[in-house]
Amino acid sequence: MPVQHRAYFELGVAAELTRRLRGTQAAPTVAGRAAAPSPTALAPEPQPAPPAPAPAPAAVAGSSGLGTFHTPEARYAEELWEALLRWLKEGLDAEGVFAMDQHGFSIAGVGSEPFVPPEVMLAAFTSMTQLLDAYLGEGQPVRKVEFTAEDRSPMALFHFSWTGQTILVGVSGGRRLGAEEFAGVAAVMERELEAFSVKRNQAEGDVG
Amino acid sequence: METTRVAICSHKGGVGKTTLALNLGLALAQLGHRTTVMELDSQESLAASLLRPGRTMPGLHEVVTGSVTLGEALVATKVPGLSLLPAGHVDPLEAVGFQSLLAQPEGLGPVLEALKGERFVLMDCPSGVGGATLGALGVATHTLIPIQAEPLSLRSVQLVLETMAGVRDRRNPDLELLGLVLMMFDRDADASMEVVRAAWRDFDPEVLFETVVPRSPVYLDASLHGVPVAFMAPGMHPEGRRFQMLAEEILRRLAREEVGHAGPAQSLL
Repeated sequence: MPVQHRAYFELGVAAELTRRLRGTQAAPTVAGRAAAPSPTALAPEPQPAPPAPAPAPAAVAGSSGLGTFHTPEARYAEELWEALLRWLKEGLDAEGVFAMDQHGFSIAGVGSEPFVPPEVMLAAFTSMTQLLDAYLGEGQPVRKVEFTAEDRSPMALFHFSWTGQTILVGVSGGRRLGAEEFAGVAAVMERELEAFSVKRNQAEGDVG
Repeated sequence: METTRVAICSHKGGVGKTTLALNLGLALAQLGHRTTVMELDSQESLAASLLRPGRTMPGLHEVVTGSVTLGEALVATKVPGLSLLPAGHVDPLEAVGFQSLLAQPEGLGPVLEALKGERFVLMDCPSGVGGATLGALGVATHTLIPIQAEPLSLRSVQLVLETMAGVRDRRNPDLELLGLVLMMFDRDADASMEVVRAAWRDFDPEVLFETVVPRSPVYLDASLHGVPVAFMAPGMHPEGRRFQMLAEEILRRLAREEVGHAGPAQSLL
């Protein structure tokens, strides 16, 4: 548990000043980065309700081998995330699965905790992707970074984009998930999150 | 297109202002944007990092005091589109007078007017909020604030933001905060990690840039060799690519400003 030293880490006044000087308002992100945790902090900002989407296919496209994902009757985003990560964990027989935002903040997790702190993983992932991008050039994006330690199960970190945010999904232990296979998983996650978002916004519109 | 004039400033010293100015300037030029990096610090950090020891050249000081023209002081580099304007030689006893001169509108104003053909002018300010920094904030369109990923640096961020707010209220209403950049991040140091975590937690994505500059020996080596970090490997050192990513973030942010949308920052990955 990190110890908070003195008042260096109280940036509320500075953050407010930056918003004034930049002309922005605090906006919650997928993980509620700038907002206090709330039951819906994990969902995206409410948007004008778009046209109703086509029903989301329940199974993973392609050959993920993870089987059917059954959409839960989720009222809060946490419930959907938990169902998605549990589906991934069971499908891969993994020890733990977690999701975090592009700043290393946890969105949700099931099973065992990652043996590397999320912030460290994010820093390593960012460094690796930047370095590899510099060497490999355009068109060969890095999708997965694996972390290994002698006495631990290997852990893989993947990422995908959703509503302009980068979501990182970590898997420790279990069957290894290829980057291409992960694309199918990511597609399911995107569809489920989008469907949940639309449903929630419509519900809020009904209440409003 | 109008020149984007960026004051790179920090209340605290040693946070990487010159590193940021030089390497960002190179990255912007490599991306096709004519850029001049202007040194306002009489310590001559920029010139010292690029010139052989003991060698001096005229610069901003000589330009504003009228002993040379801007054209004579401006240093063209071998990178197309990148020019440097070093501080010039400032007698230590005259440093305060130099700062006072830069604080006046007639100090930096004519220099920037003469540089209006540039897409970017990056002003590498001295630490603190002396006359040179106030002068730069008075003529800049944007402020870019490096935050050293160490606790003391966090404390100084508020001070420079308050200074910027004061200048905007009284002197330069068009001044915009371009953003904050985390510098010298050492992920093996708990305190450094704490600073980064606090910054990620409290600053909005539209304010804090995604690109984080690590603490790395290659920056010291680059300074030793008198070159930008990108030149430390054949082709381009990966750390040079990092500054290109920052430059790309800045360009996207400016493009959003132009269309009047301050949306969330683009993802780094």
